[in-house]
Amino acid sequence: MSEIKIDTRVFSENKQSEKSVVKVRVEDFSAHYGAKTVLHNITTEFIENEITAIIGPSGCGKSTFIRSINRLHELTRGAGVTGKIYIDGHDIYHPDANPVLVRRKIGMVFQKPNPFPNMSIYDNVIAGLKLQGVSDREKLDEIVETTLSKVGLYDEVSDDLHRKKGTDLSGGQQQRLCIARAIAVKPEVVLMDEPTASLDPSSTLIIEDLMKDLSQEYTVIAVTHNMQQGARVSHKTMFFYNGKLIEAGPTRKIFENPENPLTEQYITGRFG
Amino acid sequence: MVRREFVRKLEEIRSILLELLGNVEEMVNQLFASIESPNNLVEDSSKLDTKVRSRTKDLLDLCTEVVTLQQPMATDIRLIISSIRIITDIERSVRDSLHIVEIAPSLKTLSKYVKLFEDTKVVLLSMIDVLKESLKSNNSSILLELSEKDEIIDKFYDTMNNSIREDIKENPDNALELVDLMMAVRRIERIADHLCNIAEKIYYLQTAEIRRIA
Amino acid sequence: MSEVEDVNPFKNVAPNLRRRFFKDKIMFGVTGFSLILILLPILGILFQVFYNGIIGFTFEVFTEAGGSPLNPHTGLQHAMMGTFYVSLIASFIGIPLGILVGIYLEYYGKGFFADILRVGIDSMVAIPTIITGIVVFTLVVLSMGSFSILAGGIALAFIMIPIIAKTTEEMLRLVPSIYDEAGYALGLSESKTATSIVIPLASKGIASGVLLAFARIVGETAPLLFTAFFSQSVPENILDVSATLTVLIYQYGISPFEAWNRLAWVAAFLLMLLNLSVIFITRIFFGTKHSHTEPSIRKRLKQLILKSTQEEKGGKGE
Repeated sequence: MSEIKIDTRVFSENKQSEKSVVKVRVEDFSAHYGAKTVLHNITTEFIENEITAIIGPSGCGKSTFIRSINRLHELTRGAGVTGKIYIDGHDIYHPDANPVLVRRKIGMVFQKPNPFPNMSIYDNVIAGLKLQGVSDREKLDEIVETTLSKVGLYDEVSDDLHRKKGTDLSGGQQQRLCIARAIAVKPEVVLMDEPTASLDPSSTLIIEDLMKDLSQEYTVIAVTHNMQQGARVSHKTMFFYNGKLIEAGPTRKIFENPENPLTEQYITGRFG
Repeated sequence: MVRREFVRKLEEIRSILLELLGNVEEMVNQLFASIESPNNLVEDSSKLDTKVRSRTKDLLDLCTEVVTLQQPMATDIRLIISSIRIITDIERSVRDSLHIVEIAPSLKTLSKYVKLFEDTKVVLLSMIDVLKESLKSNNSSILLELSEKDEIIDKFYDTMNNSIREDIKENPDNALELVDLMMAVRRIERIADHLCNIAEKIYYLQTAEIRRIA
Repeated sequence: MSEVEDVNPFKNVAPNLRRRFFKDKIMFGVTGFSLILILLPILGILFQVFYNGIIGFTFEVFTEAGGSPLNPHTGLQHAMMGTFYVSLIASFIGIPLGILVGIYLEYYGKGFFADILRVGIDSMVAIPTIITGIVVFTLVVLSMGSFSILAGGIALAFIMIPIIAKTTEEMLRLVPSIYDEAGYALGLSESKTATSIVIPLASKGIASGVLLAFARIVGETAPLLFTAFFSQSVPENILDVSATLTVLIYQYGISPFEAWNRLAWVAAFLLMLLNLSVIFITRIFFGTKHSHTEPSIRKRLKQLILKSTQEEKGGKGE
């Protein structure tokens, strides 16, 4: 593999005309499972209110990377990290930092929709809030209506909020419910781990549109196995390979004329 | 895990482009041959023109298929875009050559211009060579080389123009033929321009940059 | 080839396939036969118990306690009360402790101590219950100076706890980790995720584990032999000795008295009914690991039972 030195920090194209605030900054970050290192010295940043797509072949570390951002990675036995990740300037891996509070600022949507099966739609949406102690019924009602509207589910389920269980919905609806649940706690960053991987094509497109809407309010970081989806949806793209960040840049640049030949080979499908 | 079928189609696109450039080369040869000695090459040139048109249609079909079915990215999509645009320049070059061949029998070429036309033909053919080589392997100085050669053609055009004007003044009876000759020279200059355009598109293919030859 | 359409497409196929189909039929025959072989004695037992229980049944069984074997009007009230109290005490102690231990093992069971605990519990599940009885006898009966229902309940609790702990741990483990992760990702602490998300999801499984453990201890005999001991009269309080259905079956069953033998059969019958109904209810409400094969029957029975109970309450609900 060639040793082309690429500046993998991502800068907005027009620093003067746009307000590009760095929301998440990753500094020399590595992660491992036991003795096996799966992420090597990642340094990069994510800009506020942008969608960043993370692409790369299977096993390249992209899931581990985003699960490190909300400190979910360390919950596995033997998992550990080195390096720093800053959100709004605060080091989330600081020894005094409370991982639970870190995770409240970050929402996550998983590959397989996972609404709680024993809770109604209503209860699913407010699960994060209720279990943190919010109990004002009116406030909760309002939040349910707002978030379900944002994800385009409200009209479809408004009659069955309490009657239907989270799992009584179709796959695409369940995933939107999970997104509603994640944004109900008002996070600042939303992580998505292959959010449409288990959905049919039309649900996929609905969720892609939703992702674009979400970026108005949140900073979205999405791992995707589907390159075309990454190209359709994101402002910035990062290409991972074998645990290293090979190239990061504006999505058009990465897909039209990437710097690194490895990136080009992956994007043009010369290897999987 | 290479996309074999896809890569094969991309290679086919490149080879058709080379083939078409070869056809342009042939037409240029016929063009100058018909100016030198008024033999009747019109039939051959017509056939070549038809063949080129059919081949450019094949190329267009292939490009459309690849875009629709294969979602090409990066260099691959630039190849498609460039090919579609190069088709136009190739067709025009062939058309221009054909016109010259068609009017060649009625041209009056004086022996004093023979050397000039020879040199010009060499330059034009070398321009096509550069284009063909650039398609096979990256050539970062393609714009520079073609720009230089185009300047030579421009000089040829200016020289011929002035000379023919003088001739018309001196020999007004040959005016019509000389005017035809002037038109032919203009078309030759236009062929050089088309070749420069093709160079710009090949440059874009290699670098994703859009730059123009002055 | 032949003009007649060969109906059996496998007739002309390689002998290999034919041999395999034959083997298949043999397997089916052998396993079917073993099934019948096993069912016969089970059905035989059931039949015996039901038959003898029903013909020996009188209503006095419910109204009268024990007494002289020559008195034809004694009943089983004392034993029923005994079994009731002893199981109640065992449940009070055993169910919460068992569930808590199960939760501990699943959530905090990472260190050395937890591994030892797990081994201990695994062995406790397999301890012969008579040993549990003798231990409780030594610890409780001897120090208290008398046999008692309390001691019996404690002995049964000792048996219940490891069973419930194991099934609780198992059921918690069966909850897919995607729900755990969803909880953590929402910013819930590990304990909050456990109590509000995982445990509720495992509750059906845990409940069925509890019910089955209950059915198990209701049928225990050995430990009660030297803890609750025996008596012919209804117990006055939990410090009193008492008869239990299981011990009574032994005592009355081997006695030479016909009246007592009859009561033993009735006791066996009642015990069997109790056992079967607990298992039946567990199946209906909680299903089994293979419950996808019986949902229609389950659903209908469940609706039936729920409807009848709702009608009694006066039609509350939908």
